Amino acid sequence: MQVTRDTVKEIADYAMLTLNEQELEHMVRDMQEIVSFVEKLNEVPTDGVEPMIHPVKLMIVMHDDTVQRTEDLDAVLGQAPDRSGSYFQVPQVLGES
Amino acid sequence: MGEALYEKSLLVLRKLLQDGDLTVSEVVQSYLTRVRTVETRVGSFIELAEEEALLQGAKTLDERRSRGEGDISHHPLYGLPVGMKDNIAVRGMRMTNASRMLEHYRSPYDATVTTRLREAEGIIMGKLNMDEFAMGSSTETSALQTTRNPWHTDYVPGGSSGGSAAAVAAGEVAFAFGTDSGGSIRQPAAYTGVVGFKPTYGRISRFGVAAFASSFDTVGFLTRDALDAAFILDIFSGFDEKDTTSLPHEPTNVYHTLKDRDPDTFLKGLRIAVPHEFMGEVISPEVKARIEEAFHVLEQAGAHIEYVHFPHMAYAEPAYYILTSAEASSNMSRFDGVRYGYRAKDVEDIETMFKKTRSEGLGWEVKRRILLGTFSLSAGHYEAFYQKAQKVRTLIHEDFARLFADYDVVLGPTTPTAAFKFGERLSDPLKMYESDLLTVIANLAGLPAISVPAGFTSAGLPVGLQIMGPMLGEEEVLGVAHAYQTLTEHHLARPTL
Repeated sequence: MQVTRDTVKEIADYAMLTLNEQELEHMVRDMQEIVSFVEKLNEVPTDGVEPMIHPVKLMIVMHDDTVQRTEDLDAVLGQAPDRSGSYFQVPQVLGES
Repeated sequence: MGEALYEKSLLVLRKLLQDGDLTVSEVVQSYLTRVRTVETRVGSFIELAEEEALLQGAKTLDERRSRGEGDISHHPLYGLPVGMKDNIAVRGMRMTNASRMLEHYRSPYDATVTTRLREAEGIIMGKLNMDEFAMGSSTETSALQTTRNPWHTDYVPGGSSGGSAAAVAAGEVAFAFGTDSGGSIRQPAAYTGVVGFKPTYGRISRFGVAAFASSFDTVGFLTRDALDAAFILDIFSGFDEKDTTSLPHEPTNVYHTLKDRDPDTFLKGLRIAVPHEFMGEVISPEVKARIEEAFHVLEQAGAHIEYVHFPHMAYAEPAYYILTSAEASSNMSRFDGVRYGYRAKDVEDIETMFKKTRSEGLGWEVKRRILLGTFSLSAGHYEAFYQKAQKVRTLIHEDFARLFADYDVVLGPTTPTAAFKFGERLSDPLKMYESDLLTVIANLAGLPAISVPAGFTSAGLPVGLQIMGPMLGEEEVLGVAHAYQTLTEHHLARPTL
């Protein structure tokens, strides 16, 4: 399939990435090359084949319902680019600024 | 004495320490001197632990020992210098994942393997370079520094665990942790002439290890020889309640089985499969020649080698890139500039903050994979790409199941060529991906696999022999690797730096 500028722009938007004109052009080329390569899978008949989601059988681990102290709040919040007391601080999300 | 301390295998060093023939201070000092001598040329470390703290820690262990306190037999890695790939959390140390996004991040907690390493009394020398978020095959996508191949510094060390492989090859650590999602331990091991071992998916806890592709990521080691790898596996394997994908099994007990086993008796009658597809035209003539020599060694010792077919081999790489990129696109969504890591400056609203932060903080390869992953998961492409790849994953799993019904192990080269030069493949994604051609299949099926040194090309670059085993077949994989190493000396060669 053809990978267009519009497709890449749209995908980048979903993924919260911005590409400038030059990067966009480069990415369209790279994506086209990779998509053409992975389309090789179309040669494989897969009717009736179950998709494999995981290599091992997953097991749900049940924990005892007890309070455990893990991380120190300050050590964790200390990694945040911006904080206010015990909250992460971000630019305005709703309404006019 | 001949051999310097840093050239010895982990187990030899361990015995000298346990017998009291060496002090921890002597060992740490020797490795620090080695790092100072070679690191400017190799560039393995993103962060080296503070020298004073290392020496003080060593002194504390020595003093405790001289007072006769603390039974060191309970601490299997007592005094041994270890390197950690920079995607594994070590409290207080950097954990950059070789990305601008986490350039100044320090982990507030320990990964489960780090906790176990501390209990085993290994010495954490530092954090090692890698491809950004483990996405790459040469360590060239690291946003922070260049790591060079100790055998020839014009060549890449492989990746993504390139810093781990180079550090072990250069004698900067006794062994190193790596992670392997499609060959990221085995491929750099092959390129740098060391052993790279990836156990069964889920054998070792992933808690505290940065996720790239969660159903592929496996923690493993880079060591001097296979017996070292067996010894280390026994310490770090086993269930961890903090990792829902950790296998509910007891730790392995491979080392003692291998240590006392006669390699000739073990190899006699061993059934080895070699898929034609692993030895095709894409394999360079020199790599092919070294691998055929390795087959000959094993046959001479009584192993049966048969050429077989692996029908879906040609589809492994496309399936791998779709699935790992899809998982990566989801895992990488956590980097949004809110809780940790980089945040773009001068942003007015939250969406601009997300986009600018991610666009400035992540490198090209990471962005490309996020985009491929988002593409294959998006409406309209999900069935044709993502689900198709999942079905092919099933078929590859079935190819392996058929082989392991009749054979004990599957052998071939680790990589189609030896190491390549810097810049040679960076601008050509498909050429770069080709170096993982023979390794991704083990991760698609979750199987244990190892790369062991099998000699050199005429340019003096190492070649790796790959051994793959069935699910939970670490003993077979390490057993063949160890038997091969008792019959050959390739793993004893050291680079001149």
